[in-house]
Formats: sequence, structure tokens, C-alpha cells
Amino acid sequence: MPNIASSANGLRALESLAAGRTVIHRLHPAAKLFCALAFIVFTASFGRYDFTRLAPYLFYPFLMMALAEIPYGILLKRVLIALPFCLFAGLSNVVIDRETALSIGGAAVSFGVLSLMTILLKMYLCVMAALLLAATTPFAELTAQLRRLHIPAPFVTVFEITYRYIGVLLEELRSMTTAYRLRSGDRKALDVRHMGSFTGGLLLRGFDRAERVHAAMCCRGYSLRRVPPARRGFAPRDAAAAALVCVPAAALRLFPLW
Amino acid sequence: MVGETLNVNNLTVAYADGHVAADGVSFALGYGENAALIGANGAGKSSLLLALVGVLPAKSGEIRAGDLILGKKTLRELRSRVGLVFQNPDDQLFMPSIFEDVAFGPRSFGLGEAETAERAEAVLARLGISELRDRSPLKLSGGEKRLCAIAAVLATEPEFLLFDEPTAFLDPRAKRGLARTLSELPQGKLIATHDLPFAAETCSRVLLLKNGRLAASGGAELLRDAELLERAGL
Amino acid sequence: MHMADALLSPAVGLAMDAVAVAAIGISVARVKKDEFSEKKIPIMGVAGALVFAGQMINFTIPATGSSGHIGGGILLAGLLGGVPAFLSIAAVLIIQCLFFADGGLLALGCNIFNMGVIPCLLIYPLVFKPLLKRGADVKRLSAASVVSATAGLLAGAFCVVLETLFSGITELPFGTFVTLMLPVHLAIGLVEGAVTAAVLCFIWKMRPELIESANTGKKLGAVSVKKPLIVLAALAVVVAGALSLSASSNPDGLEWAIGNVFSRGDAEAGLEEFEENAATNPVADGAAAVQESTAFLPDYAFKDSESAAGTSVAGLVGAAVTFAVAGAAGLVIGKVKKSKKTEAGA
Repeated sequence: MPNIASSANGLRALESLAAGRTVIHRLHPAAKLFCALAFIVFTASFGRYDFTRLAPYLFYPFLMMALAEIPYGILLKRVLIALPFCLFAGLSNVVIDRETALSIGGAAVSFGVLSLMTILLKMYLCVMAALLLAATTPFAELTAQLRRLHIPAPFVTVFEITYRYIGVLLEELRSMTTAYRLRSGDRKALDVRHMGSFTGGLLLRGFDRAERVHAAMCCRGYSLRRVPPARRGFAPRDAAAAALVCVPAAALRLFPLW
Repeated sequence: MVGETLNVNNLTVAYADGHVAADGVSFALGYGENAALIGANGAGKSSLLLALVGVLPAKSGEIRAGDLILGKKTLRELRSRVGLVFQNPDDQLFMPSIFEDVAFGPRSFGLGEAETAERAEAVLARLGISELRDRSPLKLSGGEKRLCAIAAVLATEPEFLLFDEPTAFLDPRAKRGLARTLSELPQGKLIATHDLPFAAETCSRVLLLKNGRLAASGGAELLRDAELLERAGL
Repeated sequence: MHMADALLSPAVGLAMDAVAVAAIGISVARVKKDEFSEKKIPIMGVAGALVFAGQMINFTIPATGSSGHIGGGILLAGLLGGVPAFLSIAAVLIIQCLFFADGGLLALGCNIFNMGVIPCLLIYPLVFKPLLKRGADVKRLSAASVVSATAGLLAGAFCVVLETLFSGITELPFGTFVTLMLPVHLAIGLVEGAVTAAVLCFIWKMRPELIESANTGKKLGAVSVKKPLIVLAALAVVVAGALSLSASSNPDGLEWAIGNVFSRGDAEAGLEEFEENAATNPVADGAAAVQESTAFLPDYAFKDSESAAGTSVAGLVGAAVTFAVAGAAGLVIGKVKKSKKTEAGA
């Protein structure tokens, strides 16, 4: 089960990236959140065959990665996770939609191929927008922003605790599976007969831990109503950055270059 | 307030299933006093600590911090006076950054944002871990996590500190650092541990727990009574 | 079964986001009303993390040689009750979207609906709980788990089909799409149900009070589900309205939905690509497809005025140039930043 380790490492990698101090990292989280959402909505609103019109949108991930000093490889690996389902939908278009859209030097490009390319490009853009948000905004800032947006406090707390304990539980799970593997002749996966007690055990221990977490929170005066975090000034440069993303994106959507 | 005492009188704690975790325990812990709570696995050390901050309800007996008697209405107040550092820092540190976690206590007890931040920074500086303030607990070493958990409790400015196995997960150097940190803190401390050398190094008093009862209580010389320790399963 | 942004139109995506926000709002209000809720919040958080970790446990499916993993909706609902389980799942989905590229920001609403609302807020109160009405035992618990997990997964998969089709991104006809998706998810659902049953039975043996308090007590899950159901139904109507609007601007969407069942052998090719974990082959295929289409570019000689979709050879060239310029700009900025750093360091 190698994906346990890679998930844990993945979280850590993003966390280190988010701890950066570049121009992008210093922007107000609200600006980044808004840009990511707007960018994704604009991207999704392009037509099925608008592959070429979408291409200028590539500036966003490329420039963001460069400005935020984020290496290409780390995020690219994650983009592949979203690939199978998109590819399934896209390839079925290639099969079904065979009408020629344009021909280049005698070779015909079908609408299906165009739509496949559009889907893949959209996938890359949308996934990158979300990942870039996570890779340039520390989790604490993100949740503080959610609180400022009046997302109900209980939910934000659930969200925070989930994020926090994913790492802890993955670590626990990793040692459990290692112990299991060592005693089971190096199996790659769990025998389904052991699934109940293995997963059940993990769950029960997790619930015990949750009780302790709750007790520890109560000892420090936890109650449901929480003071919202301090406001953080939304500087002109935050607005400018948001405009720098959203205005060209909107313009390219409304008045495509070609 | 300085000079107050944590009094425990005839405390009995039982789990919902009837299992008795503490049975008629009485002791007093003065300000600035360090007491080791020793006992074998399952002797009831952790349960006793949880009962002292009202997480486990007492079946009978009384817990008093200064003039404040633990009850439903005084629970919050008592918890701000008596801080419990859990055995596993991962149970305690749940916020995305250390600063947020240290600020959690004062904020929950109703302090304003400015004061909370001031206190959190002060506590971090005092324990010498200011550089960890923006880090996530995910990436800290065992010793760092321990200090952060202590900072998180100190931020509520308790008069008494309860520690559950503070040396668990620590390497020798971190252990020495912890002993130093504890000796610099003025609060009255009750330290549950079965690390006897650590107890000897940090505590002047010893409470020996066996099957939920206080089997012995005295000075640090108890830690050298081999026969007594053997009988208590240590 | 995570829906992706690339397959959604903004109308469908945003409408489902609204539904998800409403579902979360209702659930939080419900949790707040309950006196045990304060205690349940950390449990919900840890439970979410458990679902995430639990999904990493691969197990071998006997006699097939393939492996599966747990989904979690029904499992959590059985342990915590429907509403808390829903909030846990929603939190996990947001984290998967932001940090693991599983699902997207726009698709979050769809995913929260398909994998959270359906199993926790619909299937759990309407199927799982009634099956346990006469008290829990191993048999009933198993039956309820298998039936609910399968039903939840099928309903979720069906919604994926609807959401994709209404977005008008894929050409797959409704019938084909459904016949591709449902059998696969029936199989996955049965396996997931069996595992859910095994885990719940284990926990029931060890800590029966956990399961009993969630499913029979008058705590969270037992609070009337009628009101939220009505609200969700009303929202669904609004969404359907939005969907039909977006579909009418995209007439083919409706056409497919009406269901001109279409069966061309080649469509099966997609089936292989579907299984989420089989990422290797699709990558190669996809790369080949992209290569094939980009290979046409050098032969550029054809001056087409405007093709139907605004795609012309000129456009393709423009796209390629943009791609190159954007990439180059990125590289240059990176280089400049690096050299500045080394200067500062020196």
C-alpha cells in the first residue's frame, strides 16, 4: 500500500510549499480564493470545442507557478489523479463524434478529438487552479478566511480537525499495515477477511483518540461559540492582483483571440 | 493566585461500566511544589488526572483549587486554573499552526485578540520555541511537539499543571530539556510517570498509586525503596 | 467516482454547489441544536480523517485478483448518525479537492451531493435505519450495510451521469453512459457493502453502544429528517430548472437525456479507462491522442476562414504559440528569481 506514504508526503509537500514567502503567498487569502473560483468558472464556461480559445488561460498556472516558486513536477503528478474519468468521457467523444471539424494538410481533425483536447486542457487548468490555491495559502490562513466568510464555525472546526488528523492517522495506518505485511508474507493488500477487524480496529482507536482530543480541547476552555479571527486588511495590491487575473480571463472569454 | 493549594479529598472515580479508577484518594499540592504520581500501567494515573480537570466525573469526594470547588458551574473556571498536558501531544495539538493552537486556550477563555496574541507569543518565547509559531504540528519532532503542547496549556496561565507521562516519545536529550523547562516553571506540578529517574530528577514529593488507591506518599526517598516499588509493580 | 471540473458546465456546477452549501448549512444548524453536538464535533473531524485513511486500505477481492477500498458514507453514518457523517464526508471531499486534486472546486457541490448527501442524508435515514428498526444484530446490520452501500453508490453514479450529461461536455448518449456506469458501480457497491458490513459488525461486537446510540437512540440521526428533505427537494427543483435552462442552450444535452440508446461496440473502449486506479494505460492513450492531433500542426498550410466552433488552423497555431510564450514566461521569471536569490545570497 504505497499510496499511504505518498499521501502523507503529498500533504507535507504542499504544506512546505504553502509556507513560502513569495509575492503570491503574501496576497490576501480572499483574493486567491476568489481568483481560483473565478478562473475555474470561466474555464468551465468555454464551449466544447474551444480548445484553441482556452489556450491563453495557460498563462495563469504557468505564471503563478513561476511567481510562487513552485516546481512544475509536484503539481503535475497530482493532475494525473483527475485524468482517468476525464479521459473516459473525452475518449468516448472521439469515438462517437467523428465529423470532421477542420482539416490540416489533408488530415482531418474530428470534433471528437477537439473536444477531448478541450476536456484535457480544462482539466489541467481547473486542477491547477485548486492546487495552486492550496500550494500558496497556508491552511491556517485558509480556514481563518472561511471563518471570516461566515462559514459556520462547527463546520470549519470539523474541517480543521480532519486535516490535522489525516497525517496522524496515516502514520498510524502505515505502521499497522507494515506490521500486517511483515506477518502475512509480504502481501500487497489486506485479505478481505481481515478487513472488518483491521479497519474496525483503526476506527475504534480513532474514536478513542477523538474522545481524548475533545477532552484536551475542553481542558482549554473549548466551547462551540468561537471568536471570529481578526480581520486582515485587504490591501490595494490584493485587489490589483485579483483584477490582474479576472479581467484578462473575462476578456478572453468574451472576446476570444481567434 | 500565588500560594494556593490544590486539594483532593477522598476522591473516588468510577467509569460508566463500574470499573473503579480512583478509590478514596486524598492529597494536597502546594504552589511551586513538584509531585510525582507513580504507579504501574493501569494503576489509575491518567484517570486521576482526567478527574482532576472534570473530564471524568468524580463519584464522590472533592477537588478544590484554592477556594474553588470543582462542580458543574465552576468547571470552566477550574480548567483555567488547572492545566492538563496530555500524554500524546497529537491528542492536544489540533490547529493548523502552533501559534493558532497556543492561542486556542486564551481565546476560548474569552480573551481579546490582542491579549491572546501577546500571551501566545510570550509563552512561545518563554519556552524558546518562537520559531515554531507558524509551523504545523505535522512536521515537528516529538520533543518540539511536547513543548508546544506545554505552551498551549501554559497560555491559559494555570496555577497548577498536570502532566501525563511527559517523557513518553522523548529521546534522552529532549528529556533533559524537559526537566529543565519544568524546573523553571513556578506552578505546582503533578507529574504522572513511570520514568523513575525523571521523577527523581524533577520532584521532591512522590505519590504512589496502586489499583486506584494511594499506596504511599512521601518524599523523594520513596523512589529508592526497592521493595515498595516492586510491590507496586514498578 | 469523483466528478471533475472539466466535465461540468458552470450552471450545473454552481447549482450543485448551492445545494451542497444548503445541505451543510442545514446540517450545521441541526448539529448546533443538539446538546451532544459539542462533543461530536471533534469526533466528526477525526472520523473524516479516518475515512480518508480508511480509503487507503486496499484489500483483495476474493477470486478476482483485483483490489478495492472502502467508500465511507454509510459506514460513518452507521457510526455517527447521518448528519454528523455528512459533515465529516463533506470536509474530506474539500480536502481531497484542494490537496489531492481529487474532484475540483467547481465540482465540489456535485461530489458532496453524490457521495455525502445521497448516502448520509437520503439512503441512511430512508434505507439503513428502517432496516435496523427492530434492533441491531449481525444479520440485520449486514443486510442494511450491503443494501445501503450499494443503493448509495448506484444513486451516486447515476447522478454523475446526469451531471455530466446536463453539462453537455460528453457525447455519450444517456443509455450507453448508464449501462457503462451502473454495472461497474453495482459491483463496487456490493464489495463496499460487504466491507462496510464487516467493519460495522466488528465494531458492534466490540462496542455495541456506539452503533446503538447512533441508530436507535433519539440523538442526532433520529431527529426528524422531513424538513431537510423538503428543503433539499425544493432545491433540487430549482437546480433542475437551472439544468434545463443550461440544457436548452445546449440542445444535445436534453436529446441524450431523453435516451436515444446508442450501442456502438467501440464505446466499450471507454470502460477500461473508467476504473479510477488504472491510470497507466489511459495516460499512454491520452498522450497518443494528443500527439496525434498536435502532429498535424507542422503541416500548416491550410487557410480556413472560420470553422463551426471557432477552431481554425490559425487558432491552433495561436494556441501553440500562446502555450510556448506562457511556458517561456514562466521559465524566465523562474530564472530571474533564482539569480536574484543567488545574488542576495552572495
